[in-house]
Amino acid sequence: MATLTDLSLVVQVAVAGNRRAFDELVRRYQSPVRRFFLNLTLGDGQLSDDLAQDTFLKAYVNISKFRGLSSFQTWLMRIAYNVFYDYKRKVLPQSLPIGSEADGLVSDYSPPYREGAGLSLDIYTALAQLKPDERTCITLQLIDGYDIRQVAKITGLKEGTVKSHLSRGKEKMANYLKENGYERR
Amino acid sequence: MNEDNDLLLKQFFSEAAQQTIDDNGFTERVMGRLPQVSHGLGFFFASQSPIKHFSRLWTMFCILVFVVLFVIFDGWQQLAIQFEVLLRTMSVSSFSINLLMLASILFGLLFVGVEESVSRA
Repeated sequence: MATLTDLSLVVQVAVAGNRRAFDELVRRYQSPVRRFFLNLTLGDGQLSDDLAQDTFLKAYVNISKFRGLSSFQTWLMRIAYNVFYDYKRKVLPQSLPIGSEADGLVSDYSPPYREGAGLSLDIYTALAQLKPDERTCITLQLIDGYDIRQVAKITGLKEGTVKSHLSRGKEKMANYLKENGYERR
Repeated sequence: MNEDNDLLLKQFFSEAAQQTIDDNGFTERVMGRLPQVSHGLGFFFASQSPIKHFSRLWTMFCILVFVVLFVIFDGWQQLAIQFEVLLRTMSVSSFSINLLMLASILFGLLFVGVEESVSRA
């Protein structure tokens, strides 16, 4: 099964209802999806896993809507992005930190449980300096390796907007790193 | 300046970009929560009630019988002959209703209607 392409696995799920094929798809993409959520939730492992599960469940229910216009991974990340923003919309009114901007733009809290700690400078603390949209774009480009066109497809934003978020986000991140003594080796 | 920033960020995120998260039972948890959704042909078999299930099986049986009979009696050949006769006689014959043909069509429509009513019940 390891040699099968994503598309053939998707067809097996969509046409024959083959759950083993979907099992294989989950195994292939659990890591990038969970890592994406870890970065967006600033290292909250439990929340990331819950959101990742929701993402795969939605992908399973809607798999017959996959048209193959983009790669399966891009399609999956689009669902992940929507799941995250649905979650934000649900919880934001209760979880807004005092003094933050209306849309919860800057997160300066420390999440209770962190995965992947131990980097020379905590990546989640650095990402917390960004607004959510900037964080999403930065994460997708610099960590997950998508180009601007793919980031626009995943987020549903215009390419120009993505470029703006990336530019502002990169500037903030670079300033933060320099202020905290992180130098290029 | 921007290039310097890009390089700085690339270096900073390089470790995170290579991070792989172990499955640790995640896939099993997802598979355990999958809802009962009928995809593709699965829809045909996953009916809600025994009546619907029987109705769908009966439809499949009828389709199968039709296909078998069509092959055994050389259906394409019969159709081709009928079509040729129709074309050749179209200009000279007057319009008439074939009662046998009409009865067959009505029976077919009745079957489809009953099947649809049963499946909606």
